[in-house]
Amino acid sequence: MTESSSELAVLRLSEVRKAYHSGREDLEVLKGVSFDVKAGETVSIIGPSGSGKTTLLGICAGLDRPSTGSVSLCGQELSGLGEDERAAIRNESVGFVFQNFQLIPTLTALENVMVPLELRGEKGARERAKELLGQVGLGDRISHYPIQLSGGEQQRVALARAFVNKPRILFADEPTGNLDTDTSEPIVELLFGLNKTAGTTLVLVTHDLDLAKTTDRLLRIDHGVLQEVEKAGADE
Amino acid sequence: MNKAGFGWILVMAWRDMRRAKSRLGLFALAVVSGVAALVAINSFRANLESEMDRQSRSLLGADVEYDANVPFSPKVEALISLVPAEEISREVKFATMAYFPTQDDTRIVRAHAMEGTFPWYGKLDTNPEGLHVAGSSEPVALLEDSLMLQFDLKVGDPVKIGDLEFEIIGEVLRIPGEGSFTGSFAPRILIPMAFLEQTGLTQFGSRLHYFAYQKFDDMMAEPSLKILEGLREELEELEIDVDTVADQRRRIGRTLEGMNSFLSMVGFVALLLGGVAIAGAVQVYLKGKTDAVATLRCVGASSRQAMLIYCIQISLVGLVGCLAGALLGLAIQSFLPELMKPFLPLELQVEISWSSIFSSLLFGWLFTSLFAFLPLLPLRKISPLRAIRASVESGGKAWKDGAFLLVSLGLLSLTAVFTITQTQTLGQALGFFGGILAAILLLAGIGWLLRFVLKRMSFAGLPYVWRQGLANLHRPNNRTTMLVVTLGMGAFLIYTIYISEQSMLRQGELADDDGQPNVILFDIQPDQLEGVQATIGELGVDPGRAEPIVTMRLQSLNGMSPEELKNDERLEIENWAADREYRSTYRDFIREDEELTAGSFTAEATLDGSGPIPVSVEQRIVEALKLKLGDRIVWDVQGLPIETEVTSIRKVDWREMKPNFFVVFPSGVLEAAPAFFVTAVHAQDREILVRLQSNVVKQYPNVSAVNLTMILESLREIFDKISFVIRFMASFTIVTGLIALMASVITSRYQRARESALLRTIGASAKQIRGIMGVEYALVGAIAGLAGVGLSLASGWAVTKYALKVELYIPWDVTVATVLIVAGMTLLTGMLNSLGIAKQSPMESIRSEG
Ligand SMILES: Nc1ncnc2c1ncn2[C@@H]1O[C@H](COP(=O)(O)OP(=O)(O)OP(=O)(O)O)[C@@H](O)[C@H]1O
Ligand SMILES: [Mg+2]
Repeated sequence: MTESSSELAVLRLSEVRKAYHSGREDLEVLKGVSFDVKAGETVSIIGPSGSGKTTLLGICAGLDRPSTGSVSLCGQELSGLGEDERAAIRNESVGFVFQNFQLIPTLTALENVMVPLELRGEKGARERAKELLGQVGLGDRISHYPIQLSGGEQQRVALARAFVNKPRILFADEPTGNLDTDTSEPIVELLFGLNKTAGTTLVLVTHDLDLAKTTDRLLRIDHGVLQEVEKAGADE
Repeated sequence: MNKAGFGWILVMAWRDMRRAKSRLGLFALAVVSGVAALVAINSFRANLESEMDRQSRSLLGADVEYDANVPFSPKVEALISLVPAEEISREVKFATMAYFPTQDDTRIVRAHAMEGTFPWYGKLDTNPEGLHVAGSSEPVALLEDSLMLQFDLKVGDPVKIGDLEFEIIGEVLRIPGEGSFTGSFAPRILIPMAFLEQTGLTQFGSRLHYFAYQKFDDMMAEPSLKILEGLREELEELEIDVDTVADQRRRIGRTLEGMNSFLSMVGFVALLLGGVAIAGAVQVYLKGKTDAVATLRCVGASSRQAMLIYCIQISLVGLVGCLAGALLGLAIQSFLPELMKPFLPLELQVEISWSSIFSSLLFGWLFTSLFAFLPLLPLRKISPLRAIRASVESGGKAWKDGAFLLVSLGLLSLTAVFTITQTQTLGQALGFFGGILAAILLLAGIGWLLRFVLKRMSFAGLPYVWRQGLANLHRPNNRTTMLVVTLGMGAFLIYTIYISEQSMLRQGELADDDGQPNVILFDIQPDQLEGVQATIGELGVDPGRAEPIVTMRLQSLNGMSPEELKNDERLEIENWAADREYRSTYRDFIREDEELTAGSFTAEATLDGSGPIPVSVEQRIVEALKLKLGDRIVWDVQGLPIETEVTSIRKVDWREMKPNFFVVFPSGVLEAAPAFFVTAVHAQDREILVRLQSNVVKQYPNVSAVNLTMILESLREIFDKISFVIRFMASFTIVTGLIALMASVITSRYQRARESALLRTIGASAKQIRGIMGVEYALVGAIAGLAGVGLSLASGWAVTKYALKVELYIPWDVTVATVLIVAGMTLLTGMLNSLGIAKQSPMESIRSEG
């Protein structure tokens, strides 16, 4: 099952296709996508709206299944696993940052950050969550509920949650899409800062070409086809 | 699988519900009244059961009771004396007129002529305490308290029964084994047996009922019973009814059980509606949790864990509701004995029956939890993809989900088990279950139809507030159907009872109509007939035509004895019709108000043995005995068998307060048989009516002159007592409906709040927003009221036609008022709960999340 290169490739997609059936028409969103992401790499995916970025990210993280093709995440082939087994892998090794933050409204900032650790049944969740909230600059807002926080603050809580379980790979779908430029900058800084210190692999979907350029690799998706963009060639 | 244990799920459940406590608390309220009703009734019932067991001997007052319609023959006496007993007492009971000289007024009463020390168990409750009449050497009487009150009597006043005047020495409050209810039509008067003869009432064929009671020696009770059982058959063949404590316990148990079952079914309906309400509220509540579940799944929670979090919340809410319900039920139970007092044959001390409270609680909790789980199950299907894409549908139709089917099945079987344990027969269970289900489905259908119609209609011409209010009834997440079902059901139950009651009372009211008879005189002996008619005529009252009555029993029908008829399942004979004493008449015509529906009436016949006597039978007895033309019936006319053939079928209006007969013989056959006469007359006013009664009774003490207006009043009193209890129970469903309304207003408030805020932002006034809600609630209330009342008219029709056998009477003004009241209450509850929305600042709502 496990391939020899799995030690290095945290994420491997081969010939992934995804089609949606709506009525009589079939819409093929991904037309055979293959790529590897090695441990510690930072990769950004860019592409026009509707090109399939979110779809691809969902498949990478095991939130969705491809129509055909295989995905292996952290050395495990996803296609053979059930929903709950994939959930367990996510809990163990994956972090998420979403465009719309996705904090649980009934939990305080601290509790939101604690959830992934608590799911693992780990001790010391509270301390670690507090520490991370401190790192994102919200040490004094830990008992506030999401609606009592601004959009930027909510995304910082989401960042803290994403890193709290020391994920091997972090997926971020347009993490600054809902924020203005002034608010975005510190978030981006935090994201890369936390990523660097933790040595996490990062897969980032963004519209922002400048942001994309700061990652190790740049992938462009268009009409369902994924191409590696050489860093030199992306300077336009 | 991740490693978070059950503890974490509990913590998450708690964290998640912290801020929604008040909202969830309201869901809990929805089950309170249902559980309260169940706990109260079941605990009361257990209490009653155990009390009846403990005091079972006082239900009879003796160890055994023998009774017959004729004095005991020497043979019977000999048989009875074979049963070893410590003591024997006797009693004769009969309906008669009592005359109160102080008031110059009369009333039909039930006299108990007593001899011996009976009752030995339980207490003859009297005021002043400890009075007995049996051994008295003076003509003394104990009167039922209601009688003392009605005729303003005091101790020392006289009362005349038959030819003899008795002195009232006190009130009788309770006779062992009889509820005060028993005396509603004919209040009881206790007199010493020694003076029965002197009343002169025994010489007439007056319907006297003879009783003997035995008290067994404590040590010998078992053998005595054994001997009794050995003699039972022989005694019964001699037409002696034998009742032991166990028989009496069973009979009283059955009656009370029927009543209790009905009440607990009403309670169950409240619980059912509470379940529907809580399921609806939970559905809305969980809709707001979809994103949170998707996020949890994203960060690695399993679908089971995610669902369990909410499962626990809901169960907890249900438990809180059930516990509160049980507490309330306990409080209610403490005054149920008072409420049911008229129907109870014994004094009941309030006791707490923990086992029945616990089982009702458990049942209520299981039932409502299952209900609430229905909307919970789809949570398992929420895709984690929702976290990155808002539009992902949680897939699959609910009814294709195995777990959904399983929970539904669980609910259905719980309902079935409950229904079957509460009702006596499978037919009843099916009837009740089917009826309730049909009512709920119909109401749900009406709710659905309302939404369907509103969705398709254009209200372009209406003002904005109206359009918006109407639209709210069919827009997503509306609670229209649920409210129509819960409120409609409450209205339905209460109003069905109301119109059945009104129809029943109405039939008696006909007696007040002009020219309709309002006094019935019966037990007139043949030699008294002329005199009685003259007495009536003296008062300017038309004495009318007296009808002769000959009593008889069914000896055989087409060659089958009553026993065989009853035992043959295929015949479906109604038992009462095979056993009863028939009071038949004879004449050579059929009355104008009698409708001949089949065959032809024969006016005259003779007993010359040339063939069966042609008789006319009434529709009701045709149904009860499954008769048809040509059937041969042999009647036992006081010892003489007479063979008859059914040659015509009549239909009479039983609401007419006239002497009506199941069987009419032609003239020329029964003239020689012992008979008495009955006649119905119309007294022009109350004064004449009272004089007529007392004049007749003074001269002919054995004649009973029954004032129909008074019967009507007694009927109304009885109904008032019964319907109060039923209404009391049905009000639980109304309360549930209103709580459901509150819960749904509060849940949808969070959804509507945003929209209201938006409206406010673009300039709508608080008044307009209130107007929109007002239209919405008033309309839902009106529709629920209309639907519920409409259904109750249908069920009222069925109840009056098939169960009560009276004509349906619908008081339209009250009907309209009921609909308005339901609409008004809905509007009020809705508006009170919505106050917050209109007041909230737009900013607050926009920031708050679904
Ligand atoms: N459930 C679905 N059924 C049918 N089509 C879908 C479904 N989900 C996504 N699509 C289609 O797939 C295509 C890719 O969608 P996707 O969300 O991945 O694009 P995207 O690159 O993330 O766009 P954006 O930059 O606007 O977020 C779109 O054309 C979309 O309409
Ligand atoms: Mg996208």
